[in-house]
Formats: sequence, C-alpha cells, structure tokens
Amino acid sequence: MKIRSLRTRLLLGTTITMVVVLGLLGIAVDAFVHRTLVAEFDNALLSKAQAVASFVEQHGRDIRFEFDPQRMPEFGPGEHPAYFEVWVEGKREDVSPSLKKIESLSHGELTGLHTGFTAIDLPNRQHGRVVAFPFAAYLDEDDNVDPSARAHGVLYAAMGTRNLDRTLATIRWMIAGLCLGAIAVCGAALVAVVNNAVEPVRTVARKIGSMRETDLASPIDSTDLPSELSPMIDRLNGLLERLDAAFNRERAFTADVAHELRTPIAGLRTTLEVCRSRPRDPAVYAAAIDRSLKMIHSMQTVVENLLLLARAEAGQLALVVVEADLADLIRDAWSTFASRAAESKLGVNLNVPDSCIMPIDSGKLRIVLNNLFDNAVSYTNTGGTVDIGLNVDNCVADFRISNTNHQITPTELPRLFERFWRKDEARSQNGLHAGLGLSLCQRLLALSGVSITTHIEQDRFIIGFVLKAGVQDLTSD
Amino acid sequence: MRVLVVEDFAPLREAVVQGLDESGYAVDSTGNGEDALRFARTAEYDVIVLDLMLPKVDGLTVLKTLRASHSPSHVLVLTARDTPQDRVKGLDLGADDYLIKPFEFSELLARVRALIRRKYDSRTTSIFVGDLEVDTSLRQVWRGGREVELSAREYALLEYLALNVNRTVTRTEIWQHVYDFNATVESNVVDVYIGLLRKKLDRPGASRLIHTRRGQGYVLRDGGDE
Repeated sequence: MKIRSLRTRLLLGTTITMVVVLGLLGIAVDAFVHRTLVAEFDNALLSKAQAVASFVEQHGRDIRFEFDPQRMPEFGPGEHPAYFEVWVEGKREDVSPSLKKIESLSHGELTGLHTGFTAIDLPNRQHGRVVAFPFAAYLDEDDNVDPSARAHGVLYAAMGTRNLDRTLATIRWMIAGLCLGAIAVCGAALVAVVNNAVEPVRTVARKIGSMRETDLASPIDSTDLPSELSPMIDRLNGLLERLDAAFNRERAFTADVAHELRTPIAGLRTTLEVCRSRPRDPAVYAAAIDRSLKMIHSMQTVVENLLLLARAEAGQLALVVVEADLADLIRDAWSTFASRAAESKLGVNLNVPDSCIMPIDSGKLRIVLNNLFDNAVSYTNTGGTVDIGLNVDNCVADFRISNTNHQITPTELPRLFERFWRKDEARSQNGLHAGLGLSLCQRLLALSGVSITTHIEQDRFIIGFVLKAGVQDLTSD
Repeated sequence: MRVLVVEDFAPLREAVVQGLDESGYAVDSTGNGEDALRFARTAEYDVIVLDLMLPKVDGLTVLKTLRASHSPSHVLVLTARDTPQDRVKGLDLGADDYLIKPFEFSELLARVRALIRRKYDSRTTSIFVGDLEVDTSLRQVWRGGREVELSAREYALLEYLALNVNRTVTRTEIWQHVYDFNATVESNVVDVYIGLLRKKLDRPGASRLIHTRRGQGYVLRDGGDE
C-alpha cells in the first residue's frame, strides 16, 4: 500500500527506525548485562569450587577430603542450597551435604579436562549453573610424595540462579520500559516536529487553494518558507507565469477573433437591414445578396484559417504525402490569381520548370501557395511586379515569391507570422486579409519540419521555403 | 442634415451610407482618416460616424484633430473595440457617442438623430412652429393636425429650418447641411425646394411659415412679414 501523506510517511519512517534502533540497543544492553552478571556469577561459583577443591589432600596414596560444613554453610541442606561433587582419579570421592548420594552434577557438556560452566536443572528443580573445575590434590611436603603421582580430580560445584534470573529479568524489564518510554516520548516529539515541519506545505497548499484564475500574475511568496520548498515554489511560480502568459495569449486571441468577425458581421447586418427597410427592385436585392455572400466568404475564410491553425497547433492535421508535380501545382495555384494580377496591371515573372516530381502534401501546399499568391497580388502596387520562382537542384526545390511595394521594415519581419498581425492595424483590402495567412503557412510547413523564410532586398519583399526530397520534404514522419 | 461616414470596411461603409441617404441625410463617405480630416475641413458636418481603426490616420487621431480645430460636428464612434478602456479613451478624446459593432441600423439612425438634436439644442423629438409639428424621430410632419407628405430631401430641408427656427439660414448653410458632395446642385436648387416646401405646407387661411430674407436666406417662424 502506497502511503500518500508526507506527514504519515515521515512519522512512520522515523518511528520504525526509532523502534528498530532502540530495540536493537535494548537487546544489546540486555545481552551485555546478562553476560556480565553471569560471568560474575560463574566467577563466584568457581571461587567456591576452588575453595572446596582445596579440601582434597593427598597423603601418600590416600586421598582425604576434609570438608568443613561450618566454614561453607551454603553447601548444607536448605531451601536454596549450593552443591558440589568431588571426583578424584575417576572415583566419586564425596558430595556436598545438600546433594544426595544418588544425585549427580556431571553434565555432558563438561568434560572435566578444562574449567567449564553450563546451566543445569538443580536437584531441587531450580535453575542453576554448574562449574567443572579440574584440580590436583594438595600434597603435604612431609609425605614426600612423588609429584608425578599426584592425584587429579574434577570438582563440580553448582548454585541456583534464582537471584541472578530475577535480577536479569528486572533489568530486562527496565530496558524494555526505558525503550518504550523513549519511543513514546520521541514519538510525541516527532509528531510535533513533523507537524511543524509540514506546516509550510499546508501554508503553500492554502495559498494555492485560494488562488483564482485571475491571480495567476501574482506569484506565491516564498520569503518565509523553508529553503527546501523554495525550488518547488520557484518552479510553481514559473509554471504560473507560463500559464498566465498562455491565458493572456488565449484572451488576446479570443478578443482578436471576436474583433475580426465583428466588422464583417456589422457589414452583413447593416447591408441586410438597409436592404430590407423598403421594397426594392430585384436587381438591388441581388446586389445586396452578392455583397452579403462576399462578406460571408471573408468570414468563412477567417474561421477556416482559424480552424486549420488550431488543428495544426494541436497536431491534428495528418500529412498526406504522395509523389506529385510541384511545378504543376504552382502553375495551377497561380492560375486563380492571374486575372486579379492582370486587373492590377502587375508584371508577373513565373519562372517554374516544366516538371518537378517529388513527394509532397499537395493539399496543404496549395493552401500555403494560395496565401502567398493572395498576399503578393493584394499588396503589390498597381503596375508593380511579382516574381515567382522554383529552382530545383539535386532533389532540393527552392520556392520563392517576391513583390514590390511591400512597405515592410526589417524589424517587422518576425511579426509577419503572428496571428492577426497586420502592417496597418486598420482593415484593408475589403477585410479579406485578417492577418492569419502567414501564420497558417508557417504552421502547415512546420508540420514537415520546413521553415518559411522572409527577407527584404532593396524594394522587394521575398518569401519562400525549401523542400528537400527524402530529407525534410513534405513527407510524413 | 449632413453626415460623414468614415469606415474602411467598404461593404459596411456602403450599407451605412445607403441607409442614411435613404433616410434623407446628405452623406459623404471615405475609407481612411486622411480623407476624413480633409472632408471635415471642407464642409460642416452635423454628425461624423467614425471608425477607430483606419488606414493612413487612425480614428482617435482624427477625433483629436477635429476637437483641436474646434469642429462643431458631433462624432459618433463606430468600432469593434468594446472594452471600457476603449470607450473611456474615445469619449475623453471628444467623441459624443459610442456604438459597438455589430449594431442595429435603426439604433445608429436613432443615435445620429439624437446627436443632431443635441447639436441644435433641441431637447425633444418634436419641433413646433405655430401649427406645424416636425417629429425628428418619426421623420413626419403635420400642419394643423394633418400629415404633410414630404420627400426625403424636402424633409431634410424642413428639418434643418425647424432646428434653426426663428434664425435666418443662408442658402450656403442649407446647401452645406442638406446636400452631399455627390449631389448635382444647380444654382437655384435651394430656392426650388423652398418653393416645393411652401406649396406643401401653406394652406388657405393659415399663416406663412417659411419667410424669405432678401439677400440673406430663409427663416422658419410663425407669422410675420416677408
């Protein structure tokens, strides 16, 4: 299960870490204390064993064990007695008064060759520890016994660990209590610390939550926030800035669209209202209808260009690339503008090769050519010239169109591709140019990675693009 | 009444001109601000219908120039810009009224009429001269309770005289306010229309309303000698 809350994650993570660390520490301390106390117990047991072993004397061949119960009463009978068992040369020599003859302290783990300790169950059914202490019998110098004949034995001594177990249990509970107490205190402190630590996040969340779409221009203040949050706030403010710019662009665009359509709608409405205001001859109605259709056509062009632009920007326009004759396409597209050019007495130089077969999206390229030709015919001065050229060299087709009387300054060249930008803000050419054509051309060519270029040479405005067959021609991805 | 229409979108300009012309106004028109200023210097327009986005000289500059030259014309701004800032800016520069595109043509006519009344300090839509009533809103005329049928040009002439009631207006003033640049004006056209008006307005037993001021012009007033 994925934990989504940062606060819960922090609390859970630190609590688990704390429990593990304190648990391990408690176990280590307990082990250390246990080992130390058991070692002390064993040392005490060994001392008793050594003391008891000192009672074993050798006189010649005789072994005497003269244990004095008065001096070591703990080995006498009682509720919690100590025990010993003396073995000399493989023979059980004696046992403590507390141990019955039939009972034994020997243990499989204790060989008797070395001093060793182990836990056992005592004859009185209590837990205890036993030590196996190998010893050599005490020799009286007066007996002149050969040291090599010295008798060896093993003394087993055992004592109950009742007090030791109780002490260890008490210490264990104390350690556990201390650990749990530390966990509880630290946990409470941790909750307060984490709450305090995540409060700035809540503050930011509140600020973001209270923001409206109109507040995008006001960045979130990160002055009093922790430095860890600053990068996030900076990036969020950057995002807000970009969103604000995008919203502003959209608002400006919507206003531009509304503005662009208002004037032709006003023209259409006024034309129809005035026409309808009184009975007229059929020819007058027909003329009004023609004017209206022309305005509708202009609005339709604006709307269609907007739709194409929107689709191009949304990546919804699919390229349809087939082998086609680019030269033919240019001649055919120009043919629809030739009569307008003639009416304006334009000098036209159409320098296009007979044929140029290459993979192109003819439909979109025709839209581009129509826009470029329309601009050239519309903006060239009466009696001016329009040059249309297509140079084909090694699978590279370089298309250019230039015209006189452009009135564009070099600084205005980049603005040509802005939506709704016009040299003169005022509507000209009967409202047929809404400032969308070049923006659309740029988008349509960009679908294939082709750039549209513009420059000015003396009195001529030149615009064009280069298609490279097989490299970045109008082909699909 | 003479109106100048300044609008660069030709279909709209032509429709507005036709509608105003058919309503009896003398209408001149142009599609750019430069010509608008030249026209305004040449003739005195009662109302100028002015688009703001114009080629050559923009509408706000035209407005500013008109006000700087103390032009008496009332200006009705006609624009697609509808933000409060745009309106405030236009009105601050001296526009008398503001109409947002697209508009209803009858509203434009009503605003033009209102501006004309304001120009001639006429607060009501009806002007009474004796038993003559000229309704500038309905563009109808009654005398002695009977409606008088007038052509658009005759009505325009009478309305101008009525708006200047008791004041002698010269033939030049009449010509300037009732005829546009395209009208074929003969030297005695004003006198001819005055004669036609008198025939329609005068009734036996009733006093004459249009009086000739020899060497000066004409005056509309109730009673009095020629």
